[in-house]
Amino acid sequence: MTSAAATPRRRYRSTGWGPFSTRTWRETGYLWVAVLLAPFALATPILAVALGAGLAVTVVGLFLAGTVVLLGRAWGRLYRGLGRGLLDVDVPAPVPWRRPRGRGFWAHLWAYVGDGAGWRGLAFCFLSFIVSVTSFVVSVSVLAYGLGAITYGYWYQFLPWQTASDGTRHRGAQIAPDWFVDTPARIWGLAAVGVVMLLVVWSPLTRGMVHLSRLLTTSLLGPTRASLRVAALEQSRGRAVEDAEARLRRIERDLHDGTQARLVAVAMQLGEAKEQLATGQEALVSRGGDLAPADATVTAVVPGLDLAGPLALVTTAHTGVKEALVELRELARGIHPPALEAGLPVALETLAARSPLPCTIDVDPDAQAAPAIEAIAYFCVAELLTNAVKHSGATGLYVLVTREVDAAGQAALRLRVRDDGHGGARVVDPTGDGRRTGLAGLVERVGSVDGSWELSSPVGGPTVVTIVLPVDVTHA
Amino acid sequence: MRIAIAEDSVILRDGLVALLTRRGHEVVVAAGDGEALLVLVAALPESARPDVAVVDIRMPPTFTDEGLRAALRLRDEHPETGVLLFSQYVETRYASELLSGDARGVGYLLKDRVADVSDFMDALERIAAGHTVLDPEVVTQIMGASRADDGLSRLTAREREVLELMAQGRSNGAIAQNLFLSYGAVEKNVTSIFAKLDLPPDAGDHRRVLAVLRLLRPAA
Repeated sequence: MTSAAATPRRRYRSTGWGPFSTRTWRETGYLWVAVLLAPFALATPILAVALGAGLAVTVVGLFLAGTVVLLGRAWGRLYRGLGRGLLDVDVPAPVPWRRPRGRGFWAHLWAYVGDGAGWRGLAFCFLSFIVSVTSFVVSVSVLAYGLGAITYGYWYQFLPWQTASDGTRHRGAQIAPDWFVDTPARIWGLAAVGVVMLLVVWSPLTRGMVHLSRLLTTSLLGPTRASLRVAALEQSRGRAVEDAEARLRRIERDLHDGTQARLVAVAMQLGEAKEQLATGQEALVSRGGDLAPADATVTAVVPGLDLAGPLALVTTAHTGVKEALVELRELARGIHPPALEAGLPVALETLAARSPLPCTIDVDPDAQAAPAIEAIAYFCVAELLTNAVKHSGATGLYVLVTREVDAAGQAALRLRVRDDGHGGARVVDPTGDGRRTGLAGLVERVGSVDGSWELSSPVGGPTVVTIVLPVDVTHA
Repeated sequence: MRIAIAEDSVILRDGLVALLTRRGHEVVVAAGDGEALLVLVAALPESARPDVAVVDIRMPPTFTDEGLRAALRLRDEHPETGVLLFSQYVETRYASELLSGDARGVGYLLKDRVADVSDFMDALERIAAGHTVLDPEVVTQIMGASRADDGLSRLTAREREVLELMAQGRSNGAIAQNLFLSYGAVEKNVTSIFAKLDLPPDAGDHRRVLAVLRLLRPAA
């Protein structure tokens, strides 16, 4: 489950060569900073485990441990920043932590304690302690040895006198038994070794050690493949929900501007035709008995003229078109209620007014959300009102819509529909043939945007349904 | 009558113009949106101002309530011009906004009603004459929306029926015909409605409008 998404990009051009390259010095800088931070970072996973194990019996302790787990994310952010600045490794942040929206106590706790990115951050703190301290010691030792060897020709004169086994006295470092570095050839030789250490060994060794930290950063501090997939799925689902909503809205608009307008025009013309035919028929009938000479020309031109047949046909067509208009209006309203364009409050007011039971609607004027969310909210309320009217035996309904902002700063729309009926409502699972029952369909709709819902319907009533929807569909 | 039309569907606008012209009325303005309606009406000389404006609610640019906004401004600028809101849908909020000012000479009808041509022409004439004309569906919704105690709950079922027809702009004679009652019985019901809604007898004909308004503004 490691991150492939960490794609190291070369952002710096390294100038200079070996120990003189800027890259070597940046990476050495990383080692120094890392070794200073390491003890503090190490304390965090220890604290998390200790708190979790020690206070597991108290619920507060678990939440405390969970908070420390989230600290792992903070360390991750810090080390990612260091890596970006000094190691030339650009690791994207893991999927942001989200406060769970009212899904029960254990789910809530798990969101803290079971935060994958937090634990991976803590693992990084632990491993990074070992790696950075080792790297630091190795790198600094080699550097010190190299510098010391080069300058040995100067400072060996300050070393104390030593006596070899053959009794001769020497001033200088004793590298092997009775092998003192005090002749010019040996001093130059040691300086040569120092130069090799400094120019050839130190910089690749440091880079190699630092590369371990880089590997840790890319494998532990980035998003996991699974979490990236979840985020991608959430986004594409959000887009699908929005697309569907936009398409329905377009269909309704097309019906309104095209078909409905055309049908109204046809109905108008049929209405006029009907009235003209009726007038003509009346004239014919009233004069039918004894046609005046002038009227006789009419029947002379069209023998047996009778408008009753056409009149009946046109009347039927006229009635049919009017019925079609009513049906089309209900159909369009079911596809996308046009009042939603003017906002949720306007749409819900009309919904309440059309309800056969007295229905009080209380909508916070700030209760605004993305169009797709408002549509879901509208259809949820519509479904709940229909259900209440059909099944609850209620005498009155109450709908409350408010906007709330949780501690994490996420805004949500809260719908509450209450009836004073006899209660006992429950969700029937969708049947196998793809038909969805009222409440189950509603649950699916709410779930499609990660909303939450709660049904309280004790036998004897009242029934209260609470639905919380995020105000936006796609997550960052 | 001189009539102004604001309707974004060309088919329907042309149809309305043809219908009204055939019926001997003069269409002085035929606009495609609310802004154009206001500009064109304002450009007319005082003597040629329309008696009534037929305004579609849902028009460009936002397709929400442009027509309603335009109608309200038209009422402000030219109070003597009657306004008929004309829509595919009835929205309770729009109805109460339209009627929240002076409810004389305003109407709200579903577009379907134009199919019954003579009734539609009647409605236009009643609005031009200063009456209030509401679609039966508007009335049902308003009755549904205002169930708080405001005198309406004291009305009998028959009185409610009479009040609903009054809201549609019907005369006592038409109501009598519609409900198969005698003219006297309707008069008795109307008097009783006025009494139950505490409408003063000196308000004259305007009492009918006030009674309808009581439907719309329970708090007033």
